[in-house]
Amino acid sequence: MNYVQTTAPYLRRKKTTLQIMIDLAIGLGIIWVLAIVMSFLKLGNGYGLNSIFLMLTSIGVTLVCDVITTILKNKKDKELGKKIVYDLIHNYSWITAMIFTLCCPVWTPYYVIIIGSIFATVIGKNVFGGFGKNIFNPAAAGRLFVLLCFSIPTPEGIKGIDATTGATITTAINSKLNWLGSNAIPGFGIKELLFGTYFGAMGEVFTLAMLLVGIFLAVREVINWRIPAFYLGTITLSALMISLVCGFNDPILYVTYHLCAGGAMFAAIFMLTDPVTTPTSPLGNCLVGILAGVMTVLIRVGTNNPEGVVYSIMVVNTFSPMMDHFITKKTNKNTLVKSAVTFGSVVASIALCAGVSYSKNGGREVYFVNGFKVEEYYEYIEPLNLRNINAKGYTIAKTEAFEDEGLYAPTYYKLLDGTLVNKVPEAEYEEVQYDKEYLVKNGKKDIGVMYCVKVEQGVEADGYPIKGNDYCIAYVAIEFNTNAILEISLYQVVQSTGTNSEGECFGDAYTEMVEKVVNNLEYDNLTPEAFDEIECNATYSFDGVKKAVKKAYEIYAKEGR
Amino acid sequence: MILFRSVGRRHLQGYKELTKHSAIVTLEASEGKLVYFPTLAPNGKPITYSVKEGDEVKVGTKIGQRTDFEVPLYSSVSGKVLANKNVFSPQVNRAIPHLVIESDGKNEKAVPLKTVTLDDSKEDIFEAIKQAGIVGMGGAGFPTYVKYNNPKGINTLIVNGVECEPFLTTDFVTMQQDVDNLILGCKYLMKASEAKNTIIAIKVHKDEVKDAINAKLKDEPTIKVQEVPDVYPMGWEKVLIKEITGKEYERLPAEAGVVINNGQSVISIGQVLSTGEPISLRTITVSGNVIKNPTNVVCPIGTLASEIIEAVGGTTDEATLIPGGPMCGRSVKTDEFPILMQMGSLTLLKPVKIVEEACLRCGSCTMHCPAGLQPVEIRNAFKAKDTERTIKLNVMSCVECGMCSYSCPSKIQLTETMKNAKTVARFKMSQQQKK
Repeated sequence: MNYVQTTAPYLRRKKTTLQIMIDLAIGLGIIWVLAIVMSFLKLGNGYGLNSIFLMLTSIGVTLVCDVITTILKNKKDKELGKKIVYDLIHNYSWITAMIFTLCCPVWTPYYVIIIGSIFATVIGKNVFGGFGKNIFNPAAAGRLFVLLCFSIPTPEGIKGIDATTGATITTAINSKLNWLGSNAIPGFGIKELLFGTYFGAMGEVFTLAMLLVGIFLAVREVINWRIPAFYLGTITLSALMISLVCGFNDPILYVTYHLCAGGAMFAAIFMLTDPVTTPTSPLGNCLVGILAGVMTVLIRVGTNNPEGVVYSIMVVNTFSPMMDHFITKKTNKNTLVKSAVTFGSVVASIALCAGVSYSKNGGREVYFVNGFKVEEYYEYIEPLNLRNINAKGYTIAKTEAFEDEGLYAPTYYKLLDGTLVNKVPEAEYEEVQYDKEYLVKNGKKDIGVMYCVKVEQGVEADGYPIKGNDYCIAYVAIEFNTNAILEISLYQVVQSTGTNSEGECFGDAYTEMVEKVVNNLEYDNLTPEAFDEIECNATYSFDGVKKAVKKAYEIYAKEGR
Repeated sequence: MILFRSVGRRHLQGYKELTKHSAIVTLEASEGKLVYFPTLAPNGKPITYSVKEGDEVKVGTKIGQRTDFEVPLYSSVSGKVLANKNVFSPQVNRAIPHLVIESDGKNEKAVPLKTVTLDDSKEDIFEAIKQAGIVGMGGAGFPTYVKYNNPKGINTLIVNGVECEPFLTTDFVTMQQDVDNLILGCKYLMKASEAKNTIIAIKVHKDEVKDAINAKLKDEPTIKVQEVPDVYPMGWEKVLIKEITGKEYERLPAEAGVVINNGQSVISIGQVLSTGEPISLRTITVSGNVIKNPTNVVCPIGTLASEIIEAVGGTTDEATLIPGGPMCGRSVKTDEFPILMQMGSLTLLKPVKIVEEACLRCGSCTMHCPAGLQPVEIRNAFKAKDTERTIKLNVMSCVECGMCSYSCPSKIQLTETMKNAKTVARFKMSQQQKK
């Protein structure tokens, strides 16, 4: 009897590549459904339908591209029809389309989606020979292409982070913090970032959901857990180290920004794990995760780009063939060397990110007040809860706000770039206790002294509208070590209305006083003697300021710090 | 560290229930039955036969010897030697001349070999093992005596009763039946190797075997049964030794202080050394999804596979015939080949057409390779005709266990590619040596 001869082994695992892709599609589908629900609930039917049809358009376009490529490749093939059907399924462009669409925001114009899909399929995948042969992640290539070619403004009516500028979370973090700072950005708390109740690219916002999908896919052996684990681990540790060396106030929030904003999680679960463009060996997977992590953080903190994820994917894709080439040793040998290389890379990455951040930031946290970047800010401790925020300025100066709104806020500071801004207007005032000294604190550290003086007599003569029990307060804060005036201020306590509030308007005399101070004083000669030499028409109030300066310096000398 | 190394193992569906408890079929050496002995050993080296056409032989008569190792061959039936005949040999994968013996149905026994007892010296036991002509009955057919040729630093004797290939149940059946000879064999081999203890490794969920052995181990403090996970390829020496002792080695188990033998080989040692009668019968599993009555068959060595398949009722459908298990075995065109001592099974499966897809570079093969190789990289290098790189990627360490093909989601014939890459690499290396 004769038997059919086939090749060994004769048993095969049930799992097929198609099944892997279907699993992946289910994972992506969950995220897509969340995006649809959120678009319908928060943006209304128009954008809700958009979230559905953008995806369908993209899938349709990629499939058309595949058909055309197959026809061009097999023009003379008699079984062309069969090949087209096979390629439609087994070129897995539908996965590319799903990933690409979820990378784009729901308000992306259709033509952008179409162009991106064509680029992703044709240039990203098919010119290399189709599925399994592409060098770059096709979805990332398409996304980067449209990112560089088109600007996609946020339409009006979408309450993102910043309705006026149309900023998304990453541009907000970039413009307000330059990815170096842990200031809270309104509307982006840890809760929002985890659950994705804000707007960004369709898929990238649902961090927690993606994490769960990722764990599920890793357990089902659809994705390799090493890449996301090392990618997210490197980002977390680097961000933590940056917070430490730069002394950020809220490291956890800073780490959350890095992990949740800008699609880091989406990339970790769905894009970096693309097996075609990552190395095949376990060591290579670990290294590629680390490399992608360090690239993401470096592009964020080191450049002006708001986003580093998509670039980092493209960069590590180019390294994959090299890693495959050099990792030839058996996987179960040289564990010590491999551990050393891997964990050495992690440490080096963290050090690199922290170093770049420190050199950029000088070890200081950068703060933004009213959209301006300032160097530092101090919080005054009670009981003088006059100002919540004050920036350290080396010159007392006036700003445009000074002229537009009158003497609204009596303190000014110089910014790092030389521009001058006034103070945060929202500060609340309590009854001020005058003739009293205060310590100025930054966190738990004493950084200076402040003195307050009541100015009662003759203020009206200087042009202030004082009524009844109203009075003025002059105060001066001096920084330890530098001898510099942190803040100099004169303001009105209005008691006639029954509440203690800041005076609305200070007269021309006050304007003059501030101008005099600004014009005559520099950072290095802010002494009581220098003040004495200034002549000012606002005699009475300026006398109050001088008195406060004198007292403050006395305390400063006594403190001896 | 699990971070960098391959998992290298996976639970496979065993299909063992098919033959585990079915009644054993015995093929008698009736009058006129022909048995065949190949003239080439599995490695292609010739076997010299001392009998010629017309000679009368009995069961246990020495009929020849291998030229590469000192392994004597014994007749499995009594009767007359006929003229050599060309028969297919799955080991060398072509038809080669075979020595043919026609049984007279009497099964007369020849003069027994010299027996030894446990009190005899280590050297005497070694000589007896050598004389017994036993080769590894797990499938590889490596002469057993070589392992006991003055071994040094051996602590543990491991009896491999794992039987990790799907469908196979010969170890399960024989180790359960012949516990006395198994324990006796262990003792002989411990004496010969100076091992201090013995571990009989069997898979979990083989409670019948475990209980049967444990029942007779009460007075044997140095022998114990250890259960190992039901994964493939648990029965490969390197994996088994790593599992049991935690040690890894480069070339020979002795580096890890271990000597390892198949369960049936150990039983045979016990039997031959105590009775002096060479092995003439072999238990063989005939199983698969197209076999009518899958079961274990006991037959004289040299019986044609076709007779065995017929004895269990034949096949139901078109079939692929694999001498051996479905993972490591290599399918053959014909069933006209004799059963040798090392052959433990005939697997008959329904042919499945496998469609290859593009490699998605998922690394599943790398993660499943028990030898720690990177089959995907070897395949790419082989396709690019870069033999240097396949050697650099340690292609020669491949044991052709079949895990890479098994685990590949794109159904790529990786094991086949590895075999071809090995052939090319071997050729290249031999050329380099000549230079």
